[in-house]
Amino acid sequence: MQSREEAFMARVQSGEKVEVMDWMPDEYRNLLIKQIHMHGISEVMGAYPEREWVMKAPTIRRKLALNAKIQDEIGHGQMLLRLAEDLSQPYGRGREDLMDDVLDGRVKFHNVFHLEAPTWADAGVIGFLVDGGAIITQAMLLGSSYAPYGRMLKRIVAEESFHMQHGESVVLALAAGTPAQKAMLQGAIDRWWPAMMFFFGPREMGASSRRMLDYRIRTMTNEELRQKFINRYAPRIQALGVSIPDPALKQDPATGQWSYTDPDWDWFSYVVHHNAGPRSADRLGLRREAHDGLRWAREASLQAARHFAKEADHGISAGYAGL
Amino acid sequence: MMQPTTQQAAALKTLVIPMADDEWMIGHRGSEWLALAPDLEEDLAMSSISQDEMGHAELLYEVLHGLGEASADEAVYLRGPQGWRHAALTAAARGSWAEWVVRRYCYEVFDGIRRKALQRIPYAPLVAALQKMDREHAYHLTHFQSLVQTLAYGGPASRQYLEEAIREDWPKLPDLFEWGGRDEAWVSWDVAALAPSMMRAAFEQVVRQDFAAWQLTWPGNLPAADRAARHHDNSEFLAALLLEMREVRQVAPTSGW
Repeated sequence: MQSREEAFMARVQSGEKVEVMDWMPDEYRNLLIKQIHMHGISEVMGAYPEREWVMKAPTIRRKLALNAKIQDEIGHGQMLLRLAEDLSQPYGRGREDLMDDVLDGRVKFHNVFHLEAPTWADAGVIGFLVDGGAIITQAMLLGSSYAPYGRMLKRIVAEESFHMQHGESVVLALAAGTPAQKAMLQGAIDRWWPAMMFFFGPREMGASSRRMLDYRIRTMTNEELRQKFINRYAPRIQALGVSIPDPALKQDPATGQWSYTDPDWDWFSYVVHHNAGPRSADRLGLRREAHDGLRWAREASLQAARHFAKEADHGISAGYAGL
Repeated sequence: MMQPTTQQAAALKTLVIPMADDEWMIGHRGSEWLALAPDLEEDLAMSSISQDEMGHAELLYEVLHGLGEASADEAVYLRGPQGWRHAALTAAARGSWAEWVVRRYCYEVFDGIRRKALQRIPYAPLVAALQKMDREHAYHLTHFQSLVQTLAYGGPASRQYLEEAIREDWPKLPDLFEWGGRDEAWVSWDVAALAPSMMRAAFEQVVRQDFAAWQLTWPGNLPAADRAARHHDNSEFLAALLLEMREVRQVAPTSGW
């Protein structure tokens, strides 16, 4: 007779979707938490490299757009963490715990957000390439067997495509600019290309990624995603008159497959697992400033809410609290 | 008033430049709080508000552009320090969370009073800009009132941070009520509510009521500011702020970005 776990696997492999209140194997729940928690935290940590450029954005329009983009990313983080909170309920873990995890090194975030973004062009290239890469990954996740994740990603992918267009617009302006602007752009592409090769993960997927494929949490391999990215972005970058820092980059005309120089897998992997990138400590420091440093403000909100609930019970006016 | 006379245009600029610059600076400083608010929900709210403020500044710079001043982008990125007329409070460096809450609450109360007075000036582009701003400011005021109230009833430590922040910001408030030029500017419109003493009194009335409701100590009435409070000609602080804000633009000031 088929076990409950086997029946569940058969169900998701036949294309059925899972809802939050459905029974699910612990392994499935834990894989979802791992994936969505990391995704949510990466959205939040992704705000830090770009926020460095908000104060210095070169026009009013760029400043407002970058501000709005970072706001979207924080919003994505908030929505995804709500999903992770729902899934973590059986473990008694809520938002505070999930946010503590990043400071305690218990959840990883994307390699790209550990790196330096030393020029305005980096802010543009992050939108162009990192958000562009994220769209490819997330479009694949739209078909996830976990229905709440797929539904939420519809909105996220739509917003990411605005971000990519914002990044593309910044990049196009630099490419059409002065020699100094063009040099700034080339420098940023040189920095971000190897990171983007790592972004999709190793050629051979790890055990938990393979298990996510079995469960249809994800539907494509790392290499399929990377090939899609190169196929989309290599011609676009070349059309900008900017070179890609990889002499081995070449497309096989027969198969359409791209060959490329492997990124330094060990270094990037070490950066992600040990928060050891050139800017990891600074950015985690800012997250700590907000989360640990202002814990008192979140506690104050709870205490004030209790105060006004008590007043309401006694029929005392709560002033603006009712607004 | 369809086309203002030269004299009226000069008077309008004296009134609108301080407001445009205040909105820009408070939005610019607000954007520094991105990803640093106490929780993600507050981060989203704060970011919206900062974008609104910079959008309002842009709207007002466009009104000024219609009166012969530079375009919005030029006003922000190319204007010399001697041309800025913001109040120091709006541009002050990022401090504590409680200080930001107090700063923003005080600014919203003041700004509502200023907008209400300015709406009596019959210059259609200004009236239209103020009406648009009004709709968004109603939410901003409510938001910051509720944040002050939360800190007031958030326990002893929270209340202490709030009271320290009020003491810190109080001496910086009088600048808000000054204009960037001579009194003739507002006197000629016969809008008495634009007098610094009137705006200060209206502000004190609102804040005194709120503080009483929240059982906060009234720190004392505000003194009049220096008449040149909004002039920053030799301010090293403003020079440093502009340098940072224009760091990228100065690479190619007239190029596309």
